[in-house]
Formats: sequence, C-alpha cells, structure tokens
Amino acid sequence: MSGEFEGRVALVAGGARGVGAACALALAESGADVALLDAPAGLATPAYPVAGAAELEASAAAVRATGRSALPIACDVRDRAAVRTAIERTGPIDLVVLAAGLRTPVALGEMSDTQWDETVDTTLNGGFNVLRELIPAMIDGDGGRIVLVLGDEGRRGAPLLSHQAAAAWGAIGLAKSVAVETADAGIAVNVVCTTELDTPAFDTPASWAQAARADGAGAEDAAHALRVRHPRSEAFVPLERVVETVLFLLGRPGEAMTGSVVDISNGLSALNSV
Amino acid sequence: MGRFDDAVVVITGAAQGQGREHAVRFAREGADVFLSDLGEQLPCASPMGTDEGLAETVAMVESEGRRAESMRADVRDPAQMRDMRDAALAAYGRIDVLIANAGIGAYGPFPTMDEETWGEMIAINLSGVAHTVRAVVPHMLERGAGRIIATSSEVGREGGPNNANYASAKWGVIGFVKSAAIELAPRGITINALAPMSVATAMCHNPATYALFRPDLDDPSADDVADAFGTLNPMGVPWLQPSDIADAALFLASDEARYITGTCLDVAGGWNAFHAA
Repeated sequence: MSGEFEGRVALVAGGARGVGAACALALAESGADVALLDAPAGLATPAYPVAGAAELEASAAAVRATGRSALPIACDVRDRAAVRTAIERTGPIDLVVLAAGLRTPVALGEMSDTQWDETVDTTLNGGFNVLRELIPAMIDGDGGRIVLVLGDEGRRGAPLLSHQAAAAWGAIGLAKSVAVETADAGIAVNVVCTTELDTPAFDTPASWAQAARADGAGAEDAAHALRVRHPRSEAFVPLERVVETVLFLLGRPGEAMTGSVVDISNGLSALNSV
Repeated sequence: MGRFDDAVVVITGAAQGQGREHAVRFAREGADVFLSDLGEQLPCASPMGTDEGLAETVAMVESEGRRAESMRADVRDPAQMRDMRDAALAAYGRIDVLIANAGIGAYGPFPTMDEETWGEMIAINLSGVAHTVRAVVPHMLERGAGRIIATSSEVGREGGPNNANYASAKWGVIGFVKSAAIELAPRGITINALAPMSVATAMCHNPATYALFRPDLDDPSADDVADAFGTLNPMGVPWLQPSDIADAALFLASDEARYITGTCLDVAGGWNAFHAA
C-alpha cells in the first residue's frame, strides 16, 4: 500500500478517541506510522469519562489494522517530563496533530481553580510541552507539519467556557508565533477550529446547558439550539470533515501555508469579521 | 469634581509602569484605590515592581488627595487574589472598577524556551488575569455593577517572534475577556481588554528588550532602538507613555463606555491596522 504519508511518522496528542483517533486512523490509511498520546491521569474536572488505557489500545489496534505501526503511550500532555519521555520513545516526528482538550462548562463566578488549571494546562501548556520537545529536531532535520485542533471557542467569546476560550485563543497565539519563527525552517503550523462535535466530551448536562444557553437543558434541547445557531442548521460538525481538513493541512499546502486558522463550523464562521 | 469621585478601583501590578499610572490617574479623577504587586523579581522577567515601588505609588495617590491601600499579592495564586478582594472590601466596602494589569515581559526563541519562561508567563499574564477577575466577579455580581479592564497587547493580535509565550498569554486574555463579557453583560458588568503597543515602562526600557531589537549592537541604548520600535506601527512612534493607556482605561471605566463590553481596544499608533481584525 502506498499513500501520501508513506514513510512519515505522525504523533497525535489526544489520539485515543474523537478527532485524535480519527486523524490517527486516517494518517495510517495514508501510509504514516503513528504515535498516540492520551489516557491522562488525575483529571478531576471533566464530568465525562476521559479516554483511558483501553481506548488508547483500541485506537492503536485500529492503526495497526491498516498495516502501519502504532505506538500508544499513556501520557498526560500537562506533564512536561512525561511528554519528554514519550518523545524520546517515538524518535523524530514529521507530522503532529494536537487534539487533546477538555470540555467543562462553568460560570465564571463559580469556576474552581482546578477547572481553570486543568483546561489551560491541557490545551495551552500541553501544546507548548509537545511542540517545545518536537520543534528543535524538526528544525535540525527535514522540517515538519503541525496542526492544532481547537474549538470554536478560540474564535469568539464563549459563555461558560471562558477557561476554554482563553486556552484556545492562547493556543492560536502560540501557533502563530511558532509559525513566524519557523517559517523559513521547513515547518508549517496551522490551526483547525471546529464548532461542537458529537463526542463524549459534549455528552454532559453541563455541555447541553451551555449549548442551549439554558439550565437543565437536555441533549435534544442542546442539539436544537445548535441547529438554530449554525447557518447550516446542523448541530454537529461531522468528524470526517475535520479529519480531511487536518490531513490536507498536513500535506498539500506545504510550507506556503503557515500560521493560518481554518474554521469548520457549519457556517458559523460566516458571522466572523474575518 | 472628578470623573470617578469616590469610586473604588483595584489595580494589580501597581508598583510601576502602567499600573502606577492607572492608580494616579484614577485618583486624580476622585477615586480611592487598592493596589497590589508581587514585590519580587523573577529571573526570567523584565524588571518587576518592588515593595518600595508600590509604596511610592501609594504616596503618589495620596498626594492627589485620595486614599490608597496596598498589599503584596501574587496573581499566580487564586487564594491570594481572593485575599486581595477581601482586603479591598474590608477597606472600602465595595469594588467599582478592577484593572487586571499585572504582567511580565520574558523573551526567547521558541525552540530553546525554557519551562520557566513559558510557565511564568502563562501563570502571570493569562491565568493571573483570570484569577484576579474570578476573585472579584462574585462581588460585582452581587451588586449588579462593575467595570473590569484586562491588559492584553498588540502582541495578542498577531504571532510574536521571540514572544510565543507572551503572544499566547495575551491572545488568551482576549478570549477570556470576550467570554466573560457575554456572561456578565446581562448582570450590569462590563469587561474589556486593552491592547497597547510598546509603552515606556521597565518592560520596554531594559537591556534585554533593547538587545532583541538591536542584536547587531553590543550595548544598545534607548536611542539605538527607537527607530526599530517605530517601524512596528504606521505612526512611527517608538513607544507610548503610560498616560496614553490610562486615558483608554479611564474611558472604558467611565459612564460613557457603559455599552462597550467584550472589546479589545487597540492603543497602538495604528499597529492594529496591519491585522486582519
């Protein structure tokens, strides 16, 4: 089998399920070997079960079923030492997908210190931890392609998700800064922002209430509110569209496209000023 | 009569620079102030405020005929921000205006940026802003009134070479402010961000910053870097004065700005015109 990413090595943070797992599988189907980082330890704030060892193994098994090799590593991106150890195991990486994130809606005045910390540490500091370990070898080697997958919270204000918006806006600032610094080093860094995805992280009463802008809202109330809000009248962004976009950014545009943000938003981005 | 007679204004990072200027200018308009600063120098950071500096700001406010209270407080620690809020309420009974101003400068190329240079930046310039706001918001919600101003930066509007940590934190502040604005808008509270270009403070005027702008010189002076700074904005001004930023803060806290929330006000000599939004 040959594919666009034949002979390349990819690393997917948050690779056990959702967007991360889907990207990992698609990369493998296109010829890449894939290292998977996930199964964070000790997260206190998500109201849904975070991905564990079983899902990490299942994602790795799906990669291997394509004939490519998978290296699943239980690694919490918040833990810089664990990230460093993980990347020592993977060796040089060509393609990076950063898809680790949490969803813990809460009002600003009621947010716990831990809710702030876990969200910012995972999405923003976690992004730094991974990129800081990978970038020097990319500069010294053959460059690389990096895509951050963030929520639409990185593109506007998001009520009840001020921690997630802060982390996502911050991660875009990180991506753009690294893009500037590495633009002449064979590296491209881009961002995909998606509106709501039908994944376990969204499957909580707090997320339904946040989406519906109403306390006590159920899953269908949330889906209805999302359909109303999005010009395309769809509640969720299809995972496949996100995966296709991530793989596109990892491949075709090459180094000419770096520091960009692409929205997959069922038309919500049509309401953006840019 | 001042524009802020008897208002209570809480300001973090008040021992020098923009924070000090905010304190003096609000006092000149009739406000009493509660001021905090870390009072400690972090190795990675541009020159930071001192206890003596904080005391000097207090004296400057008092010489304007207004009351100033102060304490050492670390914005990295949410509990200390709650203590600061409690101390301000004990002193004055209410908080009308909060200026989450404390911030550091710390630079370096991303590929070799150490954990402290990244981590302290995010902890102070982003999480510190959030911890400050989160501490005071419950009080403002109770009163159904309040004005909050958070300091971002023009570097929060673009990618910042040698400044990935600073850009990340300052972008994050804007996302935080916009989210908080939506939540707080129905409750009588506004929150906005300020995005200054370079300002003539210790964060701008120090050897490390000069060296970034003139790597070709051994020991560059302010005069040596002025032209390079000036190329960053179409007005060609090398740096603004703290009073230019205080003017914007006074406006955002004023009654005239009551319908302005969730915005990021660029005070930047037109630097912002280079950005897409």
